[in-house]
Amino acid sequence: MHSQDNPKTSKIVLCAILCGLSLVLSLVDSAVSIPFLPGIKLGIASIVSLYALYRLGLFYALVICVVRCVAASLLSGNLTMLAFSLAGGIASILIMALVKKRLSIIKTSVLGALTHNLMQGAVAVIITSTPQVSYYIPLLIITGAISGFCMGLICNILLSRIK
Amino acid sequence: MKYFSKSDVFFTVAIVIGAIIVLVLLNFRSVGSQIEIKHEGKSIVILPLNKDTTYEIQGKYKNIIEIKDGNARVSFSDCPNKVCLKGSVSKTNSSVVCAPNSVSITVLGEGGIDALTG
Repeated sequence: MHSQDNPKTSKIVLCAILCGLSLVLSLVDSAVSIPFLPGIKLGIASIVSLYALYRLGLFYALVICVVRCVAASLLSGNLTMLAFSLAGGIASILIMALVKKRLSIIKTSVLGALTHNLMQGAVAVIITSTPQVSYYIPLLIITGAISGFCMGLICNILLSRIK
Repeated sequence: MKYFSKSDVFFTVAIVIGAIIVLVLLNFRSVGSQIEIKHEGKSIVILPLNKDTTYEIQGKYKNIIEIKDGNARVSFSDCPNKVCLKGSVSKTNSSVVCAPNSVSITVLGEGGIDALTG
């Protein structure tokens, strides 16, 4: 996948493939809702963000995240959700980029998922101007930690098998 | 081949346990007596929780709020994601929010809003 003669081209191609993949995963994500936990998503699209961050670096990971958020909200026709997904996605990638040198992939992924959920909680508080939404935060932390662990594990397997 | 270490598991479990403790502490709240319905941050109406009723609110989308057996919930919404339809509240300071419509329902305690934590 990484041809030696033109690394930049292969990076851009991989970036484009990952954009498409993350868009599909985020559509699958929005189709799956977990019973008893309204608004909680699996977060499988974050596998791509994590993979891109490790393989391509911060810049490409951010590009993929923005493309995914904009395209997904255009496809679903729900522009209110753009603010939620962009804020969560960008914040989590920045945090993951900060901690990835010091922590393992799974810890990075858990922290990214927590940042994503907390950011979305914060945006919900701002948009609806109800501080009571913050009572949902413990639940967001629990599901974020579990989902982050699983996605980090998947990404760890992917990174070691796809060369 | 092992793809995760013990410290990864401890890290995740510690966060989950911490959040569960906070969640349990928050659930020791008393049952409220009234609900306040807000639209775009402005208070629209305050309704008693002990009387079964419905209240219709028209913003960008339409929500119907239902009070039944001391619980308040959104019983109808034509917003796109319909997350608000799944929750129901009765405890002080808990709330249901329809984000696309900027509508929130908050349960008030005996003396109106006390101190808000968080």
